[in-house]
Amino acid sequence: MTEPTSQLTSQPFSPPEGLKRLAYGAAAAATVLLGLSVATDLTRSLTNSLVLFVFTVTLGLGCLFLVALEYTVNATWSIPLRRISEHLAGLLPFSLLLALPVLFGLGRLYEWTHGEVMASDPILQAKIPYLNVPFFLARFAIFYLVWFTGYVVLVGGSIRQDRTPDPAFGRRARRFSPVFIILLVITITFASFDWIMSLSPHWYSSIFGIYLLVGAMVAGIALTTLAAATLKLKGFLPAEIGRDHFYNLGALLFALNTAWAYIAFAQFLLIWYGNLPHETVWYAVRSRGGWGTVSGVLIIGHFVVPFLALLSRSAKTDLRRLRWVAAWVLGAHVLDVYWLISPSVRTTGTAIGWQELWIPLAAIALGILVWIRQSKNSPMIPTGDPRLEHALHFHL
Amino acid sequence: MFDQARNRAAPVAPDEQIVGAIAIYGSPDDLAEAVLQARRKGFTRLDTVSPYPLHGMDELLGRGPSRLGYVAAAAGLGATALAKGVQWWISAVDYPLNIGGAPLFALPAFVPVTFELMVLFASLITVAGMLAVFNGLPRYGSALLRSRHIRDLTCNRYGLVIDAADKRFEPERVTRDLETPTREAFELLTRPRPGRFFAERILSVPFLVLLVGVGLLASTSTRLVFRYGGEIPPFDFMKRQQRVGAQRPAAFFPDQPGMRLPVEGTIARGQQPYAFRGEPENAATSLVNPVAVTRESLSRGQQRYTAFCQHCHGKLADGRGTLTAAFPKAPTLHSAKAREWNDGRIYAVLTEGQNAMPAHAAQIARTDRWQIIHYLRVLQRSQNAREQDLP
Repeated sequence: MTEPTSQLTSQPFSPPEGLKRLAYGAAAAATVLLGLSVATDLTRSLTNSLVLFVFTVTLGLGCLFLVALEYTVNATWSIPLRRISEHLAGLLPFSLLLALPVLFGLGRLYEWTHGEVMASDPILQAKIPYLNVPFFLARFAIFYLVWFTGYVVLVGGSIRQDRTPDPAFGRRARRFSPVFIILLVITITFASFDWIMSLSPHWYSSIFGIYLLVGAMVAGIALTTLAAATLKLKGFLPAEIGRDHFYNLGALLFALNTAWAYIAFAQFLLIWYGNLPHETVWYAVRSRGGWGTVSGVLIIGHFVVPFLALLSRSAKTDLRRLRWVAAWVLGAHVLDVYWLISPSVRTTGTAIGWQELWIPLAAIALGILVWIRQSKNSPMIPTGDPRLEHALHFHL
Repeated sequence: MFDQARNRAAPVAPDEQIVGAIAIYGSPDDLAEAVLQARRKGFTRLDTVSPYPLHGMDELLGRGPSRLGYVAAAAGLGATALAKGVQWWISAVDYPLNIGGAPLFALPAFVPVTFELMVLFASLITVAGMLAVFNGLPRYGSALLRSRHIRDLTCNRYGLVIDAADKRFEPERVTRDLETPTREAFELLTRPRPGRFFAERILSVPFLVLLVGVGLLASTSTRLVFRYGGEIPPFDFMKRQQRVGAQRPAAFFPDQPGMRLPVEGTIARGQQPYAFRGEPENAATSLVNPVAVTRESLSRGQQRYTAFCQHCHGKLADGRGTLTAAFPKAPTLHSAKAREWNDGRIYAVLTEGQNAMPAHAAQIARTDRWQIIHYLRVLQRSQNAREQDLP
């Protein structure tokens, strides 16, 4: 096998100063805003920290899912871009830090943590065996156990392969990934039930897990696309990674984003059609006042704009446009998570105010810093993968 | 060495017509070079034939991106408009049906049909459009298939085809125009002149025999199937399910009647139970006719009277109805008693019945009963008019 890559890519990524400055600036602004926000309204800040936590988890899981998906379907074209997803899946371990305020604030966020509320309501009484703090924490631990296992096996193995080429790793990963994807779907379903749906403990929707899963997949592909397009524009990727690779990324982003709209609409349609009060209440809250505006912005921002922006063939290969759309979709996804969580906790106050501004700022800071840290010790493309050379010459 | 014999165009038979020319090359690179040279010479109607798709050949041939996407977009948008329009017309205009209080033009409910129809139309029209418009299919044959080189072209040779419709195409010169050092062979592509095709292939005895034979076979077998095979009902499981027939007992209700009584204690929407059952005098003192006397209420009263009262009480309410032979004679309603009864008292009779007259509460709606009473007053006055009633 020939040496496939330019000098640039076999060396670790040295982040441009601008990126670091952006991260530190965002972190500083987020800290100040968070401090002010905590001082004025603790519950609101806790809700927002839950939003940031779920958002970060979906980013990490989405990237990890892409890696597992590549092995499962035995894809070749995505191999040169896999390392970017692997680096960004590093958000998953860091999300555990963000879970701390949520875990300490369970009592303020989740109605079902209060025994007297549960005891006084016959419907909630029946849910006590599932909705209780010890079992919640146990499930939390199981989720992270599954995700960490996947992270260590897939990402850790791939990075080890760079140093000591091990052709057997690919085979192991291809056998492990389908199982992991099944576990991932199950865990993210229950995570969505636990972390988000149980905020309104009377309400249920069986499609909710898929909703969050598709959201996570969209977030993962958007984040990977954003990072890949940025690296390519700054010249950190080999010349062989070209139009057709990015076309595939754009097409996946387009398809998954449309799938998100499909699932979101399926959930809405069934509840709208059934017209049962205990189901419609969830949408009723989200269609009044400021929350109604947020819902409208979500439909346009998470579906209409990306759909139109990515529809044409040329849009999927235009790196600058692709980068903007990917960033836009990430913004829409954080709004989506916020929309899922906040109206269930607080029905009063402005739908979105300055108190929420720190969420995207903190996410930007966290994303950039984790990415820089993760990419410090390994090259930007998986140089140890035996099929890399083949994958670099991918053409549609 | 360069094979001069193979590189010459074969002579064209007199009843053949030239539709293009093909040059054969041994490698994709040679082909690419030839394509570039042909384009430099001004040829525009070029195509290539290769055993597998060649990346970048579209660009070399100067083809822009396919316009098929516009076909798909038009088909999708057309289907969306069609689906929305049809559903709007059926559900909101032609046959408005209140379903669970949802708006007649229920946008969320229309999305699935719209979406499916859009996908269906877009995919079918795109495939059909690709085949018919862009690939020029169906085609019953291609001049290329008559080429000496077609076997090589599906195996390890690469061909450059020039259409005879190209403005620079001249049968005598084209072989020189396409001359490159790497060319392995050259051939003019021909096909039979159209006239000959019809005369020899369509009007040939075997073809006509085949045509008639297939026709006979198809019609005979269809006839036999319908004659002896009988009807095969397609989806009759709805017809065969357990159901309640009109005025029939129903097997799945333990107490038999198919027409069910309402649950004890229920009343229909917008209705009130009648409070004076068995107490007509009480009704007389408590009930007041709630309907105003208007042209509409009187004509409705007349219409209901004609339908429900006239056959016994007579057209003028004088007790001379048409059913007198079969039923007990109904009394005249111009008696002093009937004229002095107030509306509430008559309403009690209409509702509960009296003597031989059955209760009419089930047949005549509440408001209609009050309107019948208004009309009855008209009849009474008409038969007992006083002088000052005259104009």
